[in-house]
Amino acid sequence: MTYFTSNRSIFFKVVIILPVVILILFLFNISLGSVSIPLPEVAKALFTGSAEKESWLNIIFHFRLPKALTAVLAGAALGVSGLQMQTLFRNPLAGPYVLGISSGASLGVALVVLLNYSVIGIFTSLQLNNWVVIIASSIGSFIVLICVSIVSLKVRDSMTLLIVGLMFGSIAGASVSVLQFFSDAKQLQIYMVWTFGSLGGLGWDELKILCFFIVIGLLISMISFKPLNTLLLSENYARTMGLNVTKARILIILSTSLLAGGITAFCGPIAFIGLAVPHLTRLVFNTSDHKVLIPAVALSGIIIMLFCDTVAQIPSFQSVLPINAVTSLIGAPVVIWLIVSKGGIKNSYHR
Amino acid sequence: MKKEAVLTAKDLEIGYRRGKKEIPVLQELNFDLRTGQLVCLMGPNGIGKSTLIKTLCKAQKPLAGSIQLAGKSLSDYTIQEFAFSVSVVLTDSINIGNLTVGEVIAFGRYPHTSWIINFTNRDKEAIQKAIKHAGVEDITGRRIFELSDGQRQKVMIARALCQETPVIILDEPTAHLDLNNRVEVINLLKKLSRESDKAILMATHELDLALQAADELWIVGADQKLIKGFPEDLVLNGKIDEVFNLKGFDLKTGYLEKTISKESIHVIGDGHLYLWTKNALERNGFGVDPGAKKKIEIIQSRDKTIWKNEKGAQFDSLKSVIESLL
Repeated sequence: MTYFTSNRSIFFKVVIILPVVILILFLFNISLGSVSIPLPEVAKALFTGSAEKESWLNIIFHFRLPKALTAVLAGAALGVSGLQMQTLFRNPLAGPYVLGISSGASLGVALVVLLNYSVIGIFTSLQLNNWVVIIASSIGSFIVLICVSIVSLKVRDSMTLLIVGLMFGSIAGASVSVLQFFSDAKQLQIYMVWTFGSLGGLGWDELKILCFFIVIGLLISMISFKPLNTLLLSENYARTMGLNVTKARILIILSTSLLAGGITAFCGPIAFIGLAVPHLTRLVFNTSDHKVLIPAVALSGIIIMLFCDTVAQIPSFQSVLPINAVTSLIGAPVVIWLIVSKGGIKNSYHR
Repeated sequence: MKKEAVLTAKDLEIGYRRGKKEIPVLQELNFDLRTGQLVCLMGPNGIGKSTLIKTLCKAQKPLAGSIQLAGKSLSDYTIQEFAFSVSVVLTDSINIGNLTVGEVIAFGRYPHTSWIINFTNRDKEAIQKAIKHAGVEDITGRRIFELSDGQRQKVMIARALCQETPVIILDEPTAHLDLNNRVEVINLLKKLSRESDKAILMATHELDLALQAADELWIVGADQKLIKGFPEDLVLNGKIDEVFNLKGFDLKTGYLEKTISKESIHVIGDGHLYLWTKNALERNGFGVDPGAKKKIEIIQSRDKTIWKNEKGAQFDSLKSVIESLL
């Protein structure tokens, strides 16, 4: 008799099938692009460090591998942070950005791009200086998160926190609108390009730092199995089962900030993954147990992110579609189909 | 025989704090909850039952006085320690979609497990026992959203059980249930208090069921005091009438107050047939009096019952008896 749905078939799916799919997509992702590299050559280059053409090695190790790894980090991070927010707020519409992380980041970037563009002259062309954007976006998210965290210590229920997060987000969003109103077309374009999101802008140095944040965020979510499961009942029940709700809430917010904040700082706002992947995973695995869901959501997030990125760079096409648009264009129909075919999310989600 | 008191309140004052202002809800509360005892906490809506329950569950701080749990002040308990001593069934609606009944019940073991949630054999035993005690064996594989309200309530009780605490506190566990399920839930709680020596405190509105099952009643009235006592004593000394201000219900006889507007009738018969005949007559405004001229005789044969009046007319149902009288 099992008390948890985590039986052998789920174990098989999470430990065998998902990683194999990820590996295949990962290789495809690297092989496809403006210059197509045959799959065997990709594998050979990755494992032995040599390839038929020197230029392929250059493409793989300087562009495509960092981009594919960024996609892996982004998929896992956004999926898991979305799952945590949906559970904490008991709201199926919650995602990684409900705490105002992306709005804060947008404000930070908007301030730099739209206000200081002419003053500092940090932008030589349409290309943004990576580090300036990363720092601006991090500071923006951080300020909003500090505000939300202070509130989270004072309120007893998470619903209030959800509204407060949305309000901070609105304030940041409105400030961005005001800034946009007073800026010229070129500045606006630079800012808009940032909001499209991009997985390709990271070099190895940036990737290392991002990886550090994401790994810590994921580790925190791993030790939150029990708080997250307990919160499924209700916060009041969680308290009577020995859970310090305030502490758990802070831990979950911290993990989400690192995950969603890190990705937003380095890749720009990437919508949809954080909202949809938890729902898809719950439907596919038919469980609400976070001990299964957290690894499964992380792996499913990676799969969807890699797939979307592969589509975004359309084989043999010179330019790349904005990843933020592709995730929604591909993902939304899939989610609609899955949800409708399973008879609604009522059965897989509370309420 | 007096059992050991597990939960004791002395001069307890409970209520809310708005800024620096204290708004007391109930004052001068003194009570003990003993092992093996089922106590029903009753009172009109809005009188402070939930506030008391919340205070006892550590969700709210008392304004004054002390609560001792197993000889230690409640405020000295950490959240984790408290979870080992008291389990709680709340009124919060549980709609967790695709969790199974077994999974929800197993949540009760969480205070006993590490962060990775691996159940030891000891945990599994406790879960099995709770499932059996609560009588939910045949639905453990079902998903929560498929259950009826009554089943869901039993699942939540099983969850509280496998937490294996000496005290269980329940807030309105029978609300929204039909009569069958109400009786079942209360019987279950009564059985638990007897068999496993647990101290059970239950807030409820079901006066009739509480009177039949509770070992002690705690009644809160409009004067913000708590009256406690043996259920039948409280009925006979009129305390319950006082608090609930029952209108048109005679608690001592257990019947709705009847207004006799029509003639009296002499009913001849005995047993439950007599009681229900009397009920039918009284409900329709007739008095029942052995000295009355009009007579109804109940004649019971092997396979059927007939009613005969003083003129010799026979009826095969109470409906026709009443119709003949009207």
